[in-house]
Amino acid sequence: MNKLNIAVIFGSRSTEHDVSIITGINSIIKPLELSGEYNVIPVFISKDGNWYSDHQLKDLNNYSSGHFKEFLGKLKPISLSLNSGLKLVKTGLKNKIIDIDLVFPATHGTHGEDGELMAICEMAGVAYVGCDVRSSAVAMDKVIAKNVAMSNNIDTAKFVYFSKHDFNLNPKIALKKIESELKLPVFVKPAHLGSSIGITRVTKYEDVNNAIEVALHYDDKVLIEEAVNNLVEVTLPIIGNEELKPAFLEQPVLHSEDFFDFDTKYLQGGKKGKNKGSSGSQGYSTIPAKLPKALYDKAEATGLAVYRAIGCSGIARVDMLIDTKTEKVYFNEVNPLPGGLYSHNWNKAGINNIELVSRLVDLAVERFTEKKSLETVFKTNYLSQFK
Amino acid sequence: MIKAFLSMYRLKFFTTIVYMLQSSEYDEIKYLRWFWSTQDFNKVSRRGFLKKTRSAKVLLNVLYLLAALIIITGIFCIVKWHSNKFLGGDCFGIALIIGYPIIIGNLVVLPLMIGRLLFINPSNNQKILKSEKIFAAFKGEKIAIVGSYGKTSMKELLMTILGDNLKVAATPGNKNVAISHANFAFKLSGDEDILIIEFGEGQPKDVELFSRITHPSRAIITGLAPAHLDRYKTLQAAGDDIFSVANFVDPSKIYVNSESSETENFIRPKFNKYNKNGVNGWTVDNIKTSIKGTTFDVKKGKVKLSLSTGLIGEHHIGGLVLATSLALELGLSEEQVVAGVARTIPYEHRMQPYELNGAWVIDDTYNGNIEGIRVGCELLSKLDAKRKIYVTPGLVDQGNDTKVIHEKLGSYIAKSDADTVVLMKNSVTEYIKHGLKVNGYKKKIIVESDPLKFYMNLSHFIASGDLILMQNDWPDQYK
Amino acid sequence: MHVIVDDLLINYQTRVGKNSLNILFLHGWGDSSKGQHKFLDSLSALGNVIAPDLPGFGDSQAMSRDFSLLDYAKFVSSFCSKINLKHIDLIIGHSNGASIAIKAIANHELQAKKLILIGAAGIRGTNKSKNSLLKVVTKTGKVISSPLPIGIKSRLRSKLYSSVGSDMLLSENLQETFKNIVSEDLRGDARKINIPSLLIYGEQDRSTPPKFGMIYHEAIQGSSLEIIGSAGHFVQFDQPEITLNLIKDFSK
Repeated sequence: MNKLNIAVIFGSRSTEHDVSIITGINSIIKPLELSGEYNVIPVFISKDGNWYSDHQLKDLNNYSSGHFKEFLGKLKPISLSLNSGLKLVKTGLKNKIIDIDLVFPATHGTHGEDGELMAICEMAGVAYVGCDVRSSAVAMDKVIAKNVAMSNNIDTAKFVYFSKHDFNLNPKIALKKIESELKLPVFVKPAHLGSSIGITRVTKYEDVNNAIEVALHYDDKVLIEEAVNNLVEVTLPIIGNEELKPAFLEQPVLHSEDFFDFDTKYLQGGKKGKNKGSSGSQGYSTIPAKLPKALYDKAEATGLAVYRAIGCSGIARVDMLIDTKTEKVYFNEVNPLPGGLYSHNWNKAGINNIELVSRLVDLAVERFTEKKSLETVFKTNYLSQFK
Repeated sequence: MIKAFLSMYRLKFFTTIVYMLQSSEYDEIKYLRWFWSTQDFNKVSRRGFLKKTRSAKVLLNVLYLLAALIIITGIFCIVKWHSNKFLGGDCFGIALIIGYPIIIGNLVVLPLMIGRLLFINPSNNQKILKSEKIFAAFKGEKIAIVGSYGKTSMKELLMTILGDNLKVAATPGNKNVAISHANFAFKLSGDEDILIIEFGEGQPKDVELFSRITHPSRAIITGLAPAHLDRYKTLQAAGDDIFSVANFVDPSKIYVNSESSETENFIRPKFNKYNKNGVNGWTVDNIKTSIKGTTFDVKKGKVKLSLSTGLIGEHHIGGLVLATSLALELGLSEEQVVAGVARTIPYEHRMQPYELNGAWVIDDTYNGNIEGIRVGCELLSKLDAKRKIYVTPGLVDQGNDTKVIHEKLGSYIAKSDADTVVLMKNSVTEYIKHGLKVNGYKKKIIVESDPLKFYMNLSHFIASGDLILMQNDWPDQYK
Repeated sequence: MHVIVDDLLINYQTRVGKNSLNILFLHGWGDSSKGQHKFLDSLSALGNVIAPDLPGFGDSQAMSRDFSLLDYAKFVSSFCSKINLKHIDLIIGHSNGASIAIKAIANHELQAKKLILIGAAGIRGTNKSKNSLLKVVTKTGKVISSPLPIGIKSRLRSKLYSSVGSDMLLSENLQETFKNIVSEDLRGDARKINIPSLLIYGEQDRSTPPKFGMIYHEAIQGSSLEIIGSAGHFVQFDQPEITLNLIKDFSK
């Protein structure tokens, strides 16, 4: 059998562009190649939205050398062909065409993790790893995700939300609504962004306006939610289509900042990466989270329920907030493509990086085959009437 | 091919040559063998790089000068030929210019040999003779550590256990030949209680010479295994040399590791044997070993001590009991000994455990002998893990016994309970595979052609529940 | 913390102090509030500290047009009203931050009770040799490197600049703004300052030598000048205790 041609797509126009490069190269391309089972084709989407594919893009040194612009300048952007399958087209004297059997998205945030990339795959009829278009899109809108969870009887912190348009139309009414409906402190978040960017914790009503402005600087929809008391924050990576396998509940260690911000999540962990133990690109955390057995199980069950409710497949990570006094578990948000696949957690759960990516590829193929068996071409006479 | 050939003309070639010399410890034969077996000089220096010592720098400059001289001579010859004064000067000149890297590569041993014969050897001999007087005059204990393997570990162990309460000096690092002993002697202050001298045997008569110079009062023979057989030729010859230390020391003050089966033929009645069962009347029991360390009890008459060490593997117990016995004999209290043993921890790259991605890795990459392989495999079979992975390239410098020893190595791995065996592809791989096959090993064998890549990417292959034992690692010059 | 000022996403740090004294700190060119976090920590002993990252620096968004010193001064003013900072007891500016402070006070963009300028820049023309050298090098640099490929060119340029101690390359996108700023002399503005002012300079400072301090001392009525030994441009790092004590005494 021929090896599958797997395109790993990373970068893209997103605030998490750089994180995506690390996920793509370190956590996906490297183990896929080491497995020896696949042809791995790196596909890099630059910050300005150009697509590139070149074997040199597998080398992280090219991105951090300080001469990345010049390096990229020497490469020629590629084109995509969606005709009967996905193909990468390198134009030149003679076009070079690479057939893609499977896409492994490694993009975080907007223009990738939000379903857009998956839609291209669906249109081309090519298998791809991870959540499908619908679940990705739902997961990327925190408000919709919360509504989906609530309609499935899953608790979530009390919230209100506004579109940019509505808020700007009459900020005073909006602020009044917040004051009357929510107790302080509240978190103000852009509805579609990951990685804690643009999130503010607010302890005084008069500061809410500025925080909303910041969130709306990034997004066209803002979410304001009550903070959970006696908080333990946990996150649960899950893989699977129908049969689900959770990794360990992971408890990020809170920094002096009041919540898990971008710095703790990526920057500090990265710098202190030499430290052995559970520090990874995701910063410091406790794996498994230290919770009473009953509460641990409850949180795990909640995570799995959310995964199903949103319709995730392949892989996702569910963030939850736990009030340890009332023992209530609140759904917070879903990440369809966890940074670095959260491999540090999977490793602790006994799954190595190569097994992880291979399983994800298998799950993608499984879902693709199943979906294909459902597809039938409908014959109608509809057009004949226009003769 | 062409790229490989052109590698000789890069400026880096000179650094590579000096690196090769340095890595072969300036041994001309080893160096020349390596030089002639190298095809691509770009690919020589992969693991290490040239350490810019003073002699390396001098040598490098000499090489630059030599190269310039050869090329100038070449040009000179061609010019001479042009003016019709030198028949065949053109061919000779071109040959010189094209061939300069090969000339340099070979010629470089000349200044080394001359330097050694004329300057270094005479000066070293003087120093060694001088040091003999210092050692002879020293009144405290002089413990010689001799053997084909395990010397450094034994030295460190004694240092750790004795060093906190007595003034102990030991030969540093792996500086273990006569000239290093001499340099060690010059640095002594004279008020030490104990000297620990490591004997690094390399060829016949070495141990005899070291013994004559250092006058040891006790000797610990840590084991006998095929090593340096390129010079000793046979294990018997190596054993003869190692055990020649006994001719200079009271036989009742000779301690031999009897777990090393090859020592048996050399042990004389009055020698003390030490092993995991005990020494000198001390008996051992209740041994528990795990990835975190080892605990055991020792008993002699009414004295019973419960010892715990960070070292992993039962093979350390013999040495620890011996050190315990010696320490008490040399005046340490029982409490001091217990505390001393508790301070012993794994040395770098010698059965050193660490956690990686939730998995445990035991780094034993400095282990280069078959006995070490045996105890490693035994340890692997005893430790609990969901999946056990054994990694080795095999052993170097095994002389004529290479085949036999690697088949034996294969038989040890076959009994190690490893789920996966990773062999670094080289000249001995097939022997190990054969040994595995003959001994009924049926699980997974992976032959890895790029060791460096394997080590770098290890973290992708493992997860919690895995136990990886890595034994030995080949330097650049072996293939 | 973030806030939107004039459509720019601005990062700022705060320290809550033991009393109600409000201190506004403005960092220098290429610096940020993060770079001064230790100094900010120590200042919190004196009062509440507010330190924005100026547009284009630290975690703040860069402005979409070129700024002048007055633009920066106006920005600081909008920032203060945005975060509802109604009264400022003390402004501390370092280097270019000090220039902005001078500009802001002189043009009534900010009101404060007292002003501290550490290694204040904004004196032009005295350092003729160095400035003109910079100009010559930059110009000739352009000529020499123009036929070279871009990669080599930019590498060469950063070498040229760093060899003459220019800050310009620290923030590549702010080149025009930098040029605006270094062409402005603040002596005129300094004369308009009518609040108690303290000038602190490092004796070994080469970027803003003590001579600048003397010029400002003359220009700002009733100001006092302190020149600190064994200190360079970052006096607050080189002599933290002395600096803090000076500030403490002055702010009383």
